[in-house]
Amino acid sequence: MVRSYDSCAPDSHAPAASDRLERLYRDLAPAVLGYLRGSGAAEPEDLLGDVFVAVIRGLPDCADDPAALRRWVFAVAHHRLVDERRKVTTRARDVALDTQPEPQVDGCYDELLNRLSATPAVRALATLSPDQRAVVLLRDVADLSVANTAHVLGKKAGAVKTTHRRALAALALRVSGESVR
Amino acid sequence: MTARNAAVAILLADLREELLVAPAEHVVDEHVRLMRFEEQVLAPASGTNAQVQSVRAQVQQRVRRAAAARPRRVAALIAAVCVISGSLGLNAAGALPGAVRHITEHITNSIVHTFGVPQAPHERAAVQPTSGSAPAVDGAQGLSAPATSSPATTSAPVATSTSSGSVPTPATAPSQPTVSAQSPPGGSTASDPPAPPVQQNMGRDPGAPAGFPADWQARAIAAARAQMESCTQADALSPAGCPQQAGTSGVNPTPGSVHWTLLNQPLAGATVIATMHETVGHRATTQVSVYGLFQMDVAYAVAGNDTHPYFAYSGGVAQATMTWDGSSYEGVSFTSGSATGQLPPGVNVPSFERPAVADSNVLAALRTGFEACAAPASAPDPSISNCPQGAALDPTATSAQWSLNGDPTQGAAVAFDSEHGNFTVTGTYAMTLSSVSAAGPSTVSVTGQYTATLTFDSEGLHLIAIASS
Repeated sequence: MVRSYDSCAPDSHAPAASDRLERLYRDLAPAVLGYLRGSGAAEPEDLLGDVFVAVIRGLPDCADDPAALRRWVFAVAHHRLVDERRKVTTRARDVALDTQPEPQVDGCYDELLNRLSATPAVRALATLSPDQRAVVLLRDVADLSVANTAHVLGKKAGAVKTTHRRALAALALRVSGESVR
Repeated sequence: MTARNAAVAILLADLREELLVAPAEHVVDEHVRLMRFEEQVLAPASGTNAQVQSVRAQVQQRVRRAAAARPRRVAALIAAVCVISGSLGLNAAGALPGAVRHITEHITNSIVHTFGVPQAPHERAAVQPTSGSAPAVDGAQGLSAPATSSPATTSAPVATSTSSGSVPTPATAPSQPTVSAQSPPGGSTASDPPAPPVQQNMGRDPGAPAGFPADWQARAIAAARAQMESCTQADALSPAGCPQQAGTSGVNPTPGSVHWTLLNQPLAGATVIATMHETVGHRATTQVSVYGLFQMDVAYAVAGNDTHPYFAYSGGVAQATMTWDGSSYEGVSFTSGSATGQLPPGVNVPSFERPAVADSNVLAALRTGFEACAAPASAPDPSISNCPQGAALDPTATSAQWSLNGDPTQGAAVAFDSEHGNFTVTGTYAMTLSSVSAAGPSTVSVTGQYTATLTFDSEGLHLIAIASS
């Protein structure tokens, strides 16, 4: 079996049951979808399907460890997200002539802001750097531990802690700025 | 600072509430189905699949036999060297006597029998004996089908035919034809009778055909989807090799004006089957077919009416056929039109499900469409694109205007076509064309029955056209 990502628990080889697949999906899909949406995926639900199909290929190795499985799923999601961004950046995009990009917001966030009606929380998230945004989404939305977040993002735990602290500081600054205004 | 942290906590809570939303139920169903499908593809063959088990046993037996005893390997190696030197050297030059050539042929046959040359069988010697050939493959063909009665196949190994002088083989022999050249996509030929599908509805039977990768079904679906997306670039109402067909016979769209758009996930609910085809040369070719739902609409212009685009809809079951060339699918082509009603036994493609749209909403969309049909007209053809009405208009008319007489959606019947995935509304309409010409003002009343076509996608209801019926 060709694996694109690190495995999680290579000593377990329990077969996957169909009902377990659905349970796995229903348990993890909201958080994964939230991570994808929050990260500005163009088609988050399509990407979600891709993620879980890819997860199936590594499922037997992670069958008996929920934490490892969760980390594995988010690792797959993160890699898929990176792949999608690469595709988007290499593909020409139609740009309406009458729109002016906001300099402080990522380009991939334009659609997201439209879809989510630009709630204050999403607007605040959009002001973070991509790394900070990913850490906030994984730590505070997907509820991953520092170690698992570091594993998913391919960073050291210390780097994740620092990024997370800076992200929260940036959010706090934004919150106070909005309250001043 | 504490207040600021509390505000951030509230912000994060809002973020969780905003983002942690479960996918829609139909998305869940689709994804779980895909996961199950993937699991079945990846799962080892079940014990009940006797055919797959049999093929696996044969392969293992053949591998064991090929690597069996050292003396046998040495003998085979010596024989191979002899055959190669004989075939490419003296024998190819025609310098060997017939008896020796017969011996080299026999050795070639033995080697092929022993090792079971893994190349695809090749029928060129039987089908096109004058086209030149490659030695090893032709030898394999004659031996991999020993029961054949074709003398060209069993007794015409290349070493013999090339040296006999009957076929002047150039040093650079023509390359071997590809699989697709012998098994053109789009259906079997008269010389290529289709056998029953070897594996039907692969969602239940994960065994891949010999020589195919484990994810052959997923790859087939991806190849078909890519082809379907390329079909949307077609500049024709019924493009060849594509599933969509706009039922507008006799209409010639303005070149470059045709724009197809996919309305659904291409090949939703796809089913993949592999079918074995056997040619006259006893060559087995595996054709892969993908069946799935498609929905497209098209906008196009016709000469003289470029400002008002016409719309049409095409939907149903798409059938894609392709062949595997060892590394990818090639010759991907769709059968024109919907394959509904022509599905092979065992192939089940779910029909379209009616969207959760009330009849009243459909009628409201249709009413809006009719209101758009009550538009200014022009001579000599006062018809409006995508509208049912038509009448004769004085060419000298300086102004003309259609108007509705009553509500055409009153008493109309709404139905959802589960085979093609669109709404149809039937009813009657009455319209009046008021015009002013050199002869003075005049009015023409038009009444008739209509059939309207509407589609529904993520953006809502779309009226395709209202046709007079």
